[in-house]
Amino acid sequence: MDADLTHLRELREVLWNGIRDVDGIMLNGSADGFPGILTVSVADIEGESLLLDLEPVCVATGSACNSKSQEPSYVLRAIGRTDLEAQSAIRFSVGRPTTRAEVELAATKYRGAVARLRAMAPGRAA
Amino acid sequence: MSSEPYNPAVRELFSAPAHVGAVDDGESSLVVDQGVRLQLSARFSGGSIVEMRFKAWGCPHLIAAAEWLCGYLEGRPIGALEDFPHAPIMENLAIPMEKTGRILVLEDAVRSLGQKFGDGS
Repeated sequence: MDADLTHLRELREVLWNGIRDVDGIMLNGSADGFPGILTVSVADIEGESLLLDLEPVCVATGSACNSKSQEPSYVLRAIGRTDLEAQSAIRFSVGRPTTRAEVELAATKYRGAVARLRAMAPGRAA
Repeated sequence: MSSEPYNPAVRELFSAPAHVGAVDDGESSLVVDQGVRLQLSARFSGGSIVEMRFKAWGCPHLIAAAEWLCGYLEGRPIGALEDFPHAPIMENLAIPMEKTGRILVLEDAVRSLGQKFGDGS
């Protein structure tokens, strides 16, 4: 079990380090939380479009407890996220079979998706 | 019943839009409503829409619809701005009923653009 947790922590760190410098990104929850999950929000990105643009990376929106609801996560709102920030939240989950290459791909896809959607939005330079 | 929320047309238009941007020397309209933001801009010449671009903050259906619409209107007479292709958009993109409001935002932006041209003519 210790080996599994170490594996998860390493993957989570690779993922977070790969996206932490995205402008406006926010880590939801503690950096010392369960190592198999990383939930982030980013300012001014529409969540449904972000989800589609991340394919084929399988992620979820919002917090786990709100995964079947279209409403902004009450958990994320409780920790101070605005409705807009909550709806852009993406939950990455890693597990025993997850590889470093997959995590690196996820980080690359996330950065690309955020950049593309921001360039597409009114008020941002193309 | 399929659980796939996006048909192939939406996926294609969303992933590879050719009309994102703004026309520098044309008219533009911006609509903020229904939880989305949509900017349309167009350049007119010789009674036709020669260039049309969009910028959108919203769901994939809105982005796909805006892309589809720009491709549809480019090359058409300016009068086409008054005849919003609601049915083709809804059908071709299989827009779910709960997102009808986003398409209405697109229609508002088109009509606003048409009114601006009319004001400048």
